[in-house]
Amino acid sequence: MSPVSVRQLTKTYGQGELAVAAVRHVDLDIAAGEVVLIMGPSGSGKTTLLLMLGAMLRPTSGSITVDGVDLAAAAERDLPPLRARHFGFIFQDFNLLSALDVVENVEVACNLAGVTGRAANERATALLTRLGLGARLRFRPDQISGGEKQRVAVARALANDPPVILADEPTANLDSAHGHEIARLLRQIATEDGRSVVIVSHDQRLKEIADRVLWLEDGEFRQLAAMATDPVCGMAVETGDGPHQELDGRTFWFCSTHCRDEFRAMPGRFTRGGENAHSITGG
Amino acid sequence: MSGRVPLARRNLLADRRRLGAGVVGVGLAVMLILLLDGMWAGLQGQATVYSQRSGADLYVLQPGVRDLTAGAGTLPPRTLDTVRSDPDVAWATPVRTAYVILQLHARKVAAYLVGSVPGERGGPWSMAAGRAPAADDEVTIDTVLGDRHGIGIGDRLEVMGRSLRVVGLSHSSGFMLSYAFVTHAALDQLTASPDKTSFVLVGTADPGAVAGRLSAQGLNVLGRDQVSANNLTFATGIFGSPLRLMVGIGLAAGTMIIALTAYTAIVERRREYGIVKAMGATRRRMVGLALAQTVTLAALGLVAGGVLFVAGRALINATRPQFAVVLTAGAAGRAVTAALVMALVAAVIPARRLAALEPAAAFRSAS
Amino acid sequence: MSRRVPLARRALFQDRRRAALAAGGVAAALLLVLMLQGIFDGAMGQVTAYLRSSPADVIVSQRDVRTMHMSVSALAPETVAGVQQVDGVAWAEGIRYTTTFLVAADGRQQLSYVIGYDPATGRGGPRRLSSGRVPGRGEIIVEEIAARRLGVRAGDSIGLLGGSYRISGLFRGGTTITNSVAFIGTEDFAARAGNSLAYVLVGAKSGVGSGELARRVADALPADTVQSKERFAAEEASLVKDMSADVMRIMSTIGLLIALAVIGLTLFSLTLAKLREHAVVKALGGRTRYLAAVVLAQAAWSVVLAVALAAVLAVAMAAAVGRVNPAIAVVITPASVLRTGVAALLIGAVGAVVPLRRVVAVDPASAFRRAS
Repeated sequence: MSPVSVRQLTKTYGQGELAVAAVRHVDLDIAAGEVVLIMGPSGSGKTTLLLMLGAMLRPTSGSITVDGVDLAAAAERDLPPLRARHFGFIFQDFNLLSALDVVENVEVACNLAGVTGRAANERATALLTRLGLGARLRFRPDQISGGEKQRVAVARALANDPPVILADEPTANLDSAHGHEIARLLRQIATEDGRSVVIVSHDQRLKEIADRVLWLEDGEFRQLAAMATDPVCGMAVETGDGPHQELDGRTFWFCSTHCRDEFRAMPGRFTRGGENAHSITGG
Repeated sequence: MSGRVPLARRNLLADRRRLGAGVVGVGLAVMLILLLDGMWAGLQGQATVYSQRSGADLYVLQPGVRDLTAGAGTLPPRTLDTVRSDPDVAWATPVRTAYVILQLHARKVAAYLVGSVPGERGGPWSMAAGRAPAADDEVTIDTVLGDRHGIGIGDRLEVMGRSLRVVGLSHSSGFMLSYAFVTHAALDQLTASPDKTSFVLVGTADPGAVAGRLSAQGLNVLGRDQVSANNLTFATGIFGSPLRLMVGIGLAAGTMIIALTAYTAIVERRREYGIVKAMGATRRRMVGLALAQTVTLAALGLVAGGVLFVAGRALINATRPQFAVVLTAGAAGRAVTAALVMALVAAVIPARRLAALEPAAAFRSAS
Repeated sequence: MSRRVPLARRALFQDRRRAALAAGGVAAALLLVLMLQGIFDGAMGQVTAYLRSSPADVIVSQRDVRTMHMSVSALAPETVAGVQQVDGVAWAEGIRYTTTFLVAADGRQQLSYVIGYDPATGRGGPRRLSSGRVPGRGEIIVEEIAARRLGVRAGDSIGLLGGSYRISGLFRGGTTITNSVAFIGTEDFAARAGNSLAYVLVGAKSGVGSGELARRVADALPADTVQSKERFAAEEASLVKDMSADVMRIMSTIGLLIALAVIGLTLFSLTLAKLREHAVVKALGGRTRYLAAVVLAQAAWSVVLAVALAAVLAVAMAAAVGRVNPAIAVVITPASVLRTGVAALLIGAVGAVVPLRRVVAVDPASAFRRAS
């Protein structure tokens, strides 16, 4: 049985005629050691899905089973310990606690999972050292770089030894080098520790480390035959009816006519070493 | 500074709750200072009320005594005759005083017993009800005492083992002390010492000359205003130090509250202030920002303090009227000065924080 | 040792300046209460100084007169003899008592209770002199602080009751902000202020308790008031307490309200500033209970720190005041610190209510919202 199993997950806001379905009847299975990347346009329901997965938002209907526990059916007051036991979170804005130093930031997560005292400290130190932060243990968040902050966040996410890691735009506030670093780390966590890693992101670079890439649009996963990358703005776009342009026997797909017009104006600028058609299998 | 966007004030006023708590805190400190000021003024009034209202122009006191706070003692023999024999003396009457502790409702109440000769001056000067005592088993108490302990005309009051009948209520409260009037003879009996008195009241059209003549005969004579001034010195000597202490503490508390509120307001918007700096604001401007906040807080606190003072004074008047809190013109001026001083001192720490801000803070992402 | 990361404390002290200002503000408010209480406790100590050092076990006074301060007492001259008859009485001595001014040569004055006693037995006087000797005829012993205020020393003369007396010695204890105590011989007193007996001091035979003796003497003297020394001292103390009760209540209320405003302000600002971080902690699996405990811990720490600071400042201020004006004895007792501390803790709890509600309402999902 896969550690994460989602069936017919639905989240609807509002009632009757004004009802808006943020997530519709989503099915998903994630295996241990697997990295799943969920992408999609803004407002597609990615964050809503993540929140429900992380037991922070109640689904309207459907089930979420993590390690055999149905989160949707759990009582409100049982959710915090469930989160502490099963999930590690990585946020776009790092969200480190500014009053604590690096090691304490990770220790706190241990405390929440029931590990205290020296055991927590040792675990935190070990995790941070593994991530190359051994020299930064006593630093405060405002004294370390963005890349280091996100690594602390990763360490914190691992502090409670969770089977599932949920990451929301983990590379959005990082530069290229650090973004790659985090991507690599996430892959490592999945492969070496056998954890399930679910990433919600716009970042194309993460596709390289993902086992599966899912496209969420209007609350549903799309079974896409093919995806391409808009060479002008870098966004992932569908192939099919959207704006496109033939050039030298290749087809380029665009997110909008605006990008297509830009491409037409100066094609040489965008075809040098850029990515083009790329196949992705739908979930 | 005209024409500039009042950044500091806007930021301060943006967070209502924090502003409210800060203003209330400062207001309470200001109220404290005003109340203490008011009590001081009340004290000064009450310390001289007897000497000013007794009707006497001169006082003949015990040897070595300067005011009316000493108890009964011995005046030189035939003092009264000597005084009355002076051609310019219109009248003279002896008054005997004593502090007593009345045990009322399991509480000790300090009272100032004044024994005067019935029909002559020295007794209550303003009656609310009833009359001054005429017989040796009668007593007139002040209205504060009567109200507080539910004693009315016709009731009996235990004084030093004797039961006296209340025949009148007078407007005559002292500071933290209640007046009770009896006959001179009553006090003689209560203390079993008939040959003593405290001072002699003298009425005359020519106090200067009379005082000179009586002094030449060896009597200790002081004018009314002099006695009042001495009584005042005595009272203020007692309460002056503790009062100044309390005012000082109140000022310190108020200053810190202003500083804290301004500081918190600044720190929480340090990115914005960093932007202002990045846009080229000078150090002086930043200090000006801090001052603007503290002055605004002090001003609001002053208003709040004024309102709280009026309410507090009413409450005290209603429940504990023996604490006379008087509203004086000088008090408002003093309060404004206090607020200004607090604002200036309180600006120091927030100003330093602002000065230390790096403009780069504007560009840093969240932690 | 199951140590958890002290999140409450860390957040509270993260900004040193803010923590200092908050602690200072609350401490100043509590200082108000402590200092005032200290003034009254000090006064109580001075007011009862004479009694506490007296060898008497029982004191007889005029009917309904229970104190020496702010009282006049007159007893029949045969009272002493009457007391001596009572079984269990080892000795009985009368003292004379009046209120007057001590006047120094340069005109300085000190309001003082003056006690006429028998220097030969010394029972009616201070237990111990700090310098000099007991007064002979024409002599007086004066309290140290009073002497300092008058600018006089042993050997100088001061005036009182119409006469001049030479200071033969000094003793310590008994001067309050309102008055002092001085002692002269019985004959000198009688010559100037009449021989009226004011109080009778009674010593008990060994084996007889003061309470028991008081009962016996009271039976023998039904027309007078008889109290054990302990009872008498308690009455003196309660005089100060009752007279100061109203002032204390007013000032304490104001002080505690100020403290409430500051604590509420601090906790609320802190909670608001950390709201996002609280959401993060909830997301990580922290229960609401845990976060509520953090807020309450911050309230408790704020209060504890403020009380400690106030106590230290109070003690320092008391010493300073004592130096500047020795007549104001400020005594900061552990009991009053404790009382103030408990009141402050209650204030802290009240101040935590609104922040608690905010924290309880935090939605962990808000940790995912983009920071501004």
